Amino acid sequence: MSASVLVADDDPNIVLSLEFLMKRAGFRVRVARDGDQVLAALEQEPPDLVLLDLMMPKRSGYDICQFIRANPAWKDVRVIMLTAKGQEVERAKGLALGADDYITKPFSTREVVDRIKRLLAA
Amino acid sequence: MPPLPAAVGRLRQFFLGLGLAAALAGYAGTWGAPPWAVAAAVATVVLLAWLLAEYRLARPLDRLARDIMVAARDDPRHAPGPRQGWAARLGQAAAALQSRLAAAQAERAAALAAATARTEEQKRRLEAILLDLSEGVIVCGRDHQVLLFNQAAVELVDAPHALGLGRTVVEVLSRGPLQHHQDRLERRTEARAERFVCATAGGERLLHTRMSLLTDSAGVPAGYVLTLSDAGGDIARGTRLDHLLRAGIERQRGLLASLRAAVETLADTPDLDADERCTFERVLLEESITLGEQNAALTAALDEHGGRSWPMAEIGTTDLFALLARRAALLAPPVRIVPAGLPDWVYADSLSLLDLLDHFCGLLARNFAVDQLTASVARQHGRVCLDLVWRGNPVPEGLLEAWLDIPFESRSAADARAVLERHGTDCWSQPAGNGEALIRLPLPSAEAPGAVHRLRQMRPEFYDFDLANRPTVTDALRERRLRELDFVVFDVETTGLELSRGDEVVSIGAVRVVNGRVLPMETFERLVNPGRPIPAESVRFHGVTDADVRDKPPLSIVLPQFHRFAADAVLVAHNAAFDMTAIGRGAAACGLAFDHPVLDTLLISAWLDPEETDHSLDGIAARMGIEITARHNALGDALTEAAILVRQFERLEAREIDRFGQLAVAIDLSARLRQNRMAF
Repeated sequence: MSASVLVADDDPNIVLSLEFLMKRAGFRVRVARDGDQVLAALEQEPPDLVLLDLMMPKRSGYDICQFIRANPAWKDVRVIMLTAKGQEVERAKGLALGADDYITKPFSTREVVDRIKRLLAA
Repeated sequence: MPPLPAAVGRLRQFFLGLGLAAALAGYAGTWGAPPWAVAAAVATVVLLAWLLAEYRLARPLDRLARDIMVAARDDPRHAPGPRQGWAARLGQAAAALQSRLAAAQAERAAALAAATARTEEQKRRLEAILLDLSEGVIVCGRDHQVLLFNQAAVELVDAPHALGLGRTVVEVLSRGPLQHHQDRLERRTEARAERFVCATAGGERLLHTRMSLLTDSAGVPAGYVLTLSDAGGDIARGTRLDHLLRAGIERQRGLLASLRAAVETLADTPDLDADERCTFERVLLEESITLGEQNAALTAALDEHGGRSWPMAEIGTTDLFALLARRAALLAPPVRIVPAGLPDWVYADSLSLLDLLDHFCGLLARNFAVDQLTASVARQHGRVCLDLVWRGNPVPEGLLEAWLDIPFESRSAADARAVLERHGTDCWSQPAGNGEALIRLPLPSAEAPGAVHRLRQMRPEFYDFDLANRPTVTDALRERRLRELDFVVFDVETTGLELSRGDEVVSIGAVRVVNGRVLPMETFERLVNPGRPIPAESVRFHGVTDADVRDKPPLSIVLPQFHRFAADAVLVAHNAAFDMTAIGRGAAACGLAFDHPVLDTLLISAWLDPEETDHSLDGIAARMGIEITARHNALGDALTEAAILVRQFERLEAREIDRFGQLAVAIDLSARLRQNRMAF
């Protein structure tokens, strides 16, 4: 069965492109538009990977990432932070809170797909 | 009857005696005349002479003396007599002298009056200038006593009645920043002024403050001048702009990401059907329009809020943690701050940074029952991270975010988020290992002011196999865990490398390591008078000159102090045999024995990395990523060695060496392998 990716972002336009490209790359894709939807999706069925925007309504991406890492049931869920926060200190914070990778907006969609594949293969 | 003036009395007695003598002589009949006639004649002559002398000489002299006394004591214009008689010339001379004296006194009084008028005029001008200044000005002595201030200063402080001549300025302005920057200015001879933000004592306002040092004619600090202006508006404006810029940039990144993703989708999928293509083209159009609007909004914001100012300066973490310790002790409940790790320098606004750290201390105490925090420093990606470490779990990110929205208790227009934005940073909480957690705050790093990077002297390696087998290394000690022991890591600088030929100690620096942590507040640093000249080639390495040690105590005074500092600890040095030899010679002379157990960071390094060839302090520090920002003197080196020791313990534990005895055996082995004994 193909790998599942949860795209978590509140910007509908970026979600549109990411969802389209992930599906073309052969992933099963679900979408969450705020922090609560991300947690609900995780509870329902943990995905293989979460593409996690940091600035979402209700709960921040940092908060969700720390929450995922604190739950042993989700230890295999990979997290890529996808964010407009471009400072080195924010990247350090993302990785310190348990993200597997950190991609800064704007990004190359090809690179995002490549990094997801690499992470899932590891 | 009043007594006669002295001179007249004496003259009268004299002539009485003379008259009597003449009368007796006449009575004896020397002249052949009847004796009573002779006596009467002589007496008459003497009487006349007496009257003449009294009225022409004695009385005028007495009057002159009296007049001179009156002129000198009471009235300089009182004219001295007499004008006639035998003392008339003396009277004239005294009158001339008196008139010159009166003229000189009048001149002096006129000059004094003119100088006073000039000073008054200057004072009035200065007061007018001070009054006209929109900035507040306060002139203080070294002890913060107010010597001068203007009306603007009165209007800037919360408690105008507390600002007065002779009172202390810390009644109206926060003592911490003033003392902090005064100390910094007095230590840094090249800088004469500092800019910072200082809160009023009541904490109601923030003031942009410029402190200039006042020195006396010999260049010794005598006080300081404060120039003050309200920072509240600037700070609020700067904070708004910081926020707008950051939010705008992040929003633009999001829009650019959508645009790029849509463009790449269109480019990479030529087989899109018409509906799909239309959808992505709509995204392109929408996002381009939004990007244009965003750009216009940012430009407008810059026009409206431009011109921010927030003074930042380099601050030593040692000072910062000491200030934090004082504030945290006053919290309810109080929090004890234990500084640990190598000191470093950050570029920050010390007051708002302290507000933020204090804010976290208070919240950790109230929410997590934390009563003690270790404050340490770590370097990460070129930034200096301030870590507050406690025993327990990390603060959940959602809660930490909520803490950032709680206003500071202490003061300031700024809030936690504004302080983070001002320093271009963020903070988070994560596990710290060993059941501990931390809040990490990365800050821009700064160079230590006045840092001098000197070459490090390459000392020949020297081995003393007795170090591992000293009588103090008991079986009980061998069984103890390294992390439970107290260590004193020390370094000595000397006049040269040939200790056996009389080279002597010029400085000792040391720091304690307890529970596997460097305690930068527990240090020992002394310069020592070596009793011999320090050769220039040695000064090049340690920077200690003859002038530096001229008035310093000899080793016989310093060594007992160091012995007390190192009591009950394991001594650690890099190439320890050299340092132990250097202090051992002096110790015997003052009846002391440094028979402590000893460890050597060089030998530990050689055991851990036998394939490495460079086991110098710089080499090991570079391999471990320990940034050497401390000064290259005895204490600076001791601090670096201490940081190395702590890292070495971590690596030793990974290789299951965690007891003193195991390490002693490893070091002994290492030493024998590297045996290359050289005489100093």
